[in-house]
Amino acid sequence: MGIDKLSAPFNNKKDVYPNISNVRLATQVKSSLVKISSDEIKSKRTPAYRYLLP
Amino acid sequence: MFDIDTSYHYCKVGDHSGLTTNRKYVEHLTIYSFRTELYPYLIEVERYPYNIYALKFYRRLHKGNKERFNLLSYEGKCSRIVGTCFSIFLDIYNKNPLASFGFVGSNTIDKSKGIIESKKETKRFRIYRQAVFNYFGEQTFSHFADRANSVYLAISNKNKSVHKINDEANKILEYLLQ
Repeated sequence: MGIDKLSAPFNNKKDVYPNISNVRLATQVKSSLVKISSDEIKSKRTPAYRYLLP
Repeated sequence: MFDIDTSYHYCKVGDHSGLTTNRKYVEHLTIYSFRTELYPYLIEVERYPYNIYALKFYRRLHKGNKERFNLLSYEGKCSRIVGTCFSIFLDIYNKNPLASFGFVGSNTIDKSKGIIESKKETKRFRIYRQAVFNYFGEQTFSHFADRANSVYLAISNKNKSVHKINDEANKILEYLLQ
């Protein structure tokens, strides 16, 4: 994919939060790093993937 | 997608150890600089306990701005910039195979356009995660994510206990997210 997604306009409503009240305060947040399953990784890989590290 | 073959040339511009970083838990801070066609950028590599490295980048112009990680340059060079970060991490990994790396996909804030993105599964998080899935396999890393906070951690499988490192990373994150 050559498209620079990050600079793409916010045209998806779920990405846009014009009201600051929608932004959660960091103090309310607990960290919970959860292992990502192998299936999820494989399902999300783009056809163009290539390993830098296996 | 994120091709390190086209990463920008970077050079080290800062090296700070221990207390001089003025950041709790950060054992070492290295700062790299690179320049795109339009702007100079800085990449901060923070080393935390258990060989966890966090990579952060922002436009040099925004140094000192507390929202420097939330701003968009609208330059359209995301793939090469992220590729440059991967390039730096690979250098680190080649020197230290116990190195794990993490990032936070900061939420975008663009007041001029009235955009304040939620911190949950941000656009940056989804893009960087995709890049990591594509380039860093499960033989070398165990992959962890905190979707609510858009945090990602790839722990080197060469460590004795991946889950212990994840537990420790959670403790550090709890402090950093306060």
